Amino acid sequence: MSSMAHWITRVYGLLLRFAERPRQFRVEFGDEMQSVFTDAVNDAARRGLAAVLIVCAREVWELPRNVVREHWGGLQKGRVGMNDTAALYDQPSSWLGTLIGALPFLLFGPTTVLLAYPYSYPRYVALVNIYPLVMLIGLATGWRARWPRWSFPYLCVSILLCDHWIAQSVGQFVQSVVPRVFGLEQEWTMFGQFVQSLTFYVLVPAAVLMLMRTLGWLRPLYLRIRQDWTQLSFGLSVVSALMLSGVDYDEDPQLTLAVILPGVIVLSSAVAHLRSSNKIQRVLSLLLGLIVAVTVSIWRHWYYVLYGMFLAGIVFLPALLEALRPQSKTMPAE
Amino acid sequence: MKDVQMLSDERIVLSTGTLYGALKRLLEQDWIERVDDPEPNGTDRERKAYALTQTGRRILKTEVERLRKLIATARRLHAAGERT
Repeated sequence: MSSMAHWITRVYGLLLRFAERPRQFRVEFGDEMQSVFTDAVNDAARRGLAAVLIVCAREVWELPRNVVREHWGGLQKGRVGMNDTAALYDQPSSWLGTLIGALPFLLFGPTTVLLAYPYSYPRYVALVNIYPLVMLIGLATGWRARWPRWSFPYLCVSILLCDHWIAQSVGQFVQSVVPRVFGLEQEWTMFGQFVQSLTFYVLVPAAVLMLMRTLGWLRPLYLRIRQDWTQLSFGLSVVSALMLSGVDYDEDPQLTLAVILPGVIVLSSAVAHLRSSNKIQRVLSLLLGLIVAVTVSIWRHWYYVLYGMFLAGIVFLPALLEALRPQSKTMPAE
Repeated sequence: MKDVQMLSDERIVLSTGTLYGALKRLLEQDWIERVDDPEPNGTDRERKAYALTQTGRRILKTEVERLRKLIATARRLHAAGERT
């Protein structure tokens, strides 16, 4: 019986390890749980095989529920609160957080490419319509969980889509409506485009920043970004998946490895980013992913060099800010 | 785990996962704290003990009071029901 108890406790140790409770939970309680379980099995072994089996069955029966609850608890808290030290931000995301954080990269990268072939517009359009819903759910969950790292792609995609829509509307207004009001016959095409760019790159981001600083329910997000700018880089890097997985229908597109691979590479770099345990690894995972993805894309067309430069600029500006900051700050209490 | 089982007259039997999930939440809420084990277990495995904090005691007292009032109300209703 003692040999069996020994093997059972070893299997339990493996189960604890591979059932992948949140890492922090395992580190904090893993040894204690193993020790308490060993005592329980040894105690039951004195009462017979049936008692041992009951102890084991109880653990196995309750394991899925406990694992889900711990992971969900982790997501709810966003892994860290505002009072935590910067060191906690270096913890890798849980596998569930990684899965959720990588979803926008999967959708805007490989899924979009695969849906677009071969020229299946209706199917493509029908399925792409669920993307905003997914983004909205991710955004709401991220807000409830106080903006963990995995929520940043949802946040950035949502802001960028709104930014795009606002800028386009303002540009259109300036280009067509304003000249008519002044009784002019010609549209202000150039000026309209200038205003559109100004709105997209400066006015809307400035307004978003101001809202984050002033609105109480958005302030945790502002503090969170200030704590670690690489989160913003990660969120913005979804743009890489979007731009490098574009399908040009005018060029008789063929589904080749060079078309699908950039999206897969960007997706892999997102997973590596979420599982990294320090800032350098995080920035490097995004940077290497972008470089390799752009290199592969250049096989398709030279203009992806320009895309790469543009992406590097917008995606890595926040990471650069983080690198230039002398020391990580401890955030004030909310 | 044995204490929980005994105190609840064998009605509540916890698994280690459930027990430590609950301990984690109580620690996070600052209702309990880790303390040195007052009874050495005689093995080489280190045992950890937990005790109520000031906040925990206050919460417990409030909860006991709440349950006492609830039971008193239930008894009054029950007694009134028996009279009618």
